[in-house]
Amino acid sequence: MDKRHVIQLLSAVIYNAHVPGFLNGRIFQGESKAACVPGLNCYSCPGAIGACPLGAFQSVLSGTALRIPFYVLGTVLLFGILAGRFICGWLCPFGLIQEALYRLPGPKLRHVPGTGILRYFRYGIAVVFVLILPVAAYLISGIGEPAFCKYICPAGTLEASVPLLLMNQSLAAAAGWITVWKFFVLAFFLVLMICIYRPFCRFVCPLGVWYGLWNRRAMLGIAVAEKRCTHCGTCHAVCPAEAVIAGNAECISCGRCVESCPEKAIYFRNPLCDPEQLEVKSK
Amino acid sequence: MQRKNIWIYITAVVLLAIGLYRHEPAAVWQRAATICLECIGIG
Repeated sequence: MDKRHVIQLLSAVIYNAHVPGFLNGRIFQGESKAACVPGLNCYSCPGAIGACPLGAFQSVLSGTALRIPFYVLGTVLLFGILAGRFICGWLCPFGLIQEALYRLPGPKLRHVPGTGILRYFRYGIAVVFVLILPVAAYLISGIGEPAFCKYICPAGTLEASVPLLLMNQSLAAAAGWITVWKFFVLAFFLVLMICIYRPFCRFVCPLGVWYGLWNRRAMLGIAVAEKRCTHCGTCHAVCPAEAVIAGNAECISCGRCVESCPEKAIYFRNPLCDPEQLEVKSK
Repeated sequence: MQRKNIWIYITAVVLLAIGLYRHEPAAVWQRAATICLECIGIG
C-alpha cells in the first residue's frame, strides 16, 4: 500500500469516524455536520461526521426556498483552489472504493471506447442534476429535491442506503421504486468499477467536474515543466484515468506519470514554491 | 501560494462570510444531521 492509498484510507476513516452509527443505525448529529468534507461522502452514512458538499449544495439551493448556497460555494471554491482534483485522487472515500474494486480479478478495459465524448457527459450530469432539476422541482412543487443524490449517486446508496436498510426495519418498509432504481444504478457502477478504472469519477461525478475547473491553478496537484517536456506521450500511456495532458481537468494527481516521465518533466506542485522557480531549480 | 490565485481565495472567503451571515451552516446541518430519505433514494 503506497502513501496515496494510506491517505485515502485515513480520510475515509476520518470522514466516517462515528463508529457507533454503524452499530445502531443512527446517524451522527454533532455540529461538525454543518461543515462540508472535501470528498464525496454521503452525510446520511451512519458514520459520517461531516456533510457531503454535493448534497449540501442541492439542499441549500432548493430546500424550503430558492437561494444561492454561498456557504457551500465558498467551501468548495476554497477546496478547489487549494487542491483541485488532488482531492479526488487522495481524499475521496468513493474514489478509494472504486480503486479497490478495480483491483479485483476480472476483465479490464484499459482504454474506454468513446472516452473523449464520455468525459463531457459528467458536465451535463452536473448542470442538469445538480442545478436545473433541483430548481425545477422547487418551481413546480414548491419543494426542491436533491436530484443527483435521489436519482444517481451510487455513493449514497452504498454508504447510506445499504447500512441503514440493513439496520433499520422501518426504513426498509419505506423503500419504493426509487430505491429499486438506485440499487440498479449502484449495481451497474459496481460492475463497471471492476472493469474500468474509476468510472464514476471519470464520467459522472459533478464534484470532480467542479474540482477539475481549478486543477491547473490549485495549490496541490500535478504540473508539467513545459521546457523539459518532449511530448513523448509516456504520461498519457500510463495514466489510469486516460488524462490527455498531465494535470488537466481529468487528472486526479495519482502521480503515476511523475514516476514514469523519462525527462522528469512532471512533478507535484510545491505549495511553498512557485512552479516557475521549481522548473528552473530542477534543471 | 500563487499570487495570481489571490482573488479566488478572496472570493471564496467572501462567499463563506456571506453564507455564515445568512446562517447557511445551520441549513446544511439540518439536512445532514437527519437521515435524508430523499437523498439516499428511499421512499
